Amino acid sequence: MRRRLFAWEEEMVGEFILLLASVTLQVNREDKWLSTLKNSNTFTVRSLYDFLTIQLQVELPVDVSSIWHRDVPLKVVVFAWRLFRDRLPTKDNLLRRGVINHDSRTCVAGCDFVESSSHLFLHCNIFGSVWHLIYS
Amino acid sequence: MLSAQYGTDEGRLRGGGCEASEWWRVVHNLSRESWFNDHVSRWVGNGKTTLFWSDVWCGRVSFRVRFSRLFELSIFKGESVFEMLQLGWGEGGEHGG
Repeated sequence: MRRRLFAWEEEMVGEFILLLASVTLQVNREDKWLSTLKNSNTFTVRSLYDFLTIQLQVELPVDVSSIWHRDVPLKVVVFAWRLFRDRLPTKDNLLRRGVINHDSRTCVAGCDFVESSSHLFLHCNIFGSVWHLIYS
Repeated sequence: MLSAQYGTDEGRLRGGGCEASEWWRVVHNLSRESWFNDHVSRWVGNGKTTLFWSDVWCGRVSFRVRFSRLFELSIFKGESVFEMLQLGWGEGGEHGG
C-alpha cells in the first residue's frame, strides 16, 4: 500500500532531484579515491604520517634527536625514544591503558611509590642509585 | 576477494565481528575515524563502484545522512551511483508514487 508523500518529503525530493540533475557520469572513467592531503590528490603513507605527526608534536625539555645515531643499536634508541615520550610500559602507564588495576601500580622495587618513568629512572632509591654507580 | 571473505551489507564490506581478523577490524574502523575520513574523497567517473546512498560522493555528507527520510523510503539501498542513474529519478525509480 502506497501513500502520498508528505509535503516536507515532497520538498526534500524536489531538492534531491535538482541536485541529481547536475550529476553526469563519465562512462570511460573508473571511480576512485582521492586524498586531499596533497595537491596531486594521490595518497601516500608519508603525507598521512606527516599530517598526524605535525598535530601531535610534543615539546620536549631536551633535544632528543641526537638519540638517532647509527652506532647505537636500534632497540636502545627505540627504548630511549619511548622513555622521553613516557611511552614505556611502566605501571602508571599500564594502569592508564587498563592492563593492571589500581592496587598493583606501585614500584616493582617495593618502595611504595607509584611506578612512573621518572620515579623508576631517577627518584627510586633502589634503581635511581644506579646513576651514582655510573658517575662514581 | 574481500567481499567473499567478509561479506557485504547494503553493498558495503562488512567490518566483521569476532570472526574477522584483528587486522581487518583495524582497517575497517579507519572509515569511522575523522582524521582519516576527512582527507579522502570519492571521485565519481562511471559510478559503478560508488555506493549511491552510503558513500560521500556529492556534497560533504552521504545522501543517506542528508536525505535520510528518502533513504528510509527507498527500496534500493545498496545500489551504485551508476545503477541508480539507470533506474531514473522519477516513477518506478527510487521513490514510487
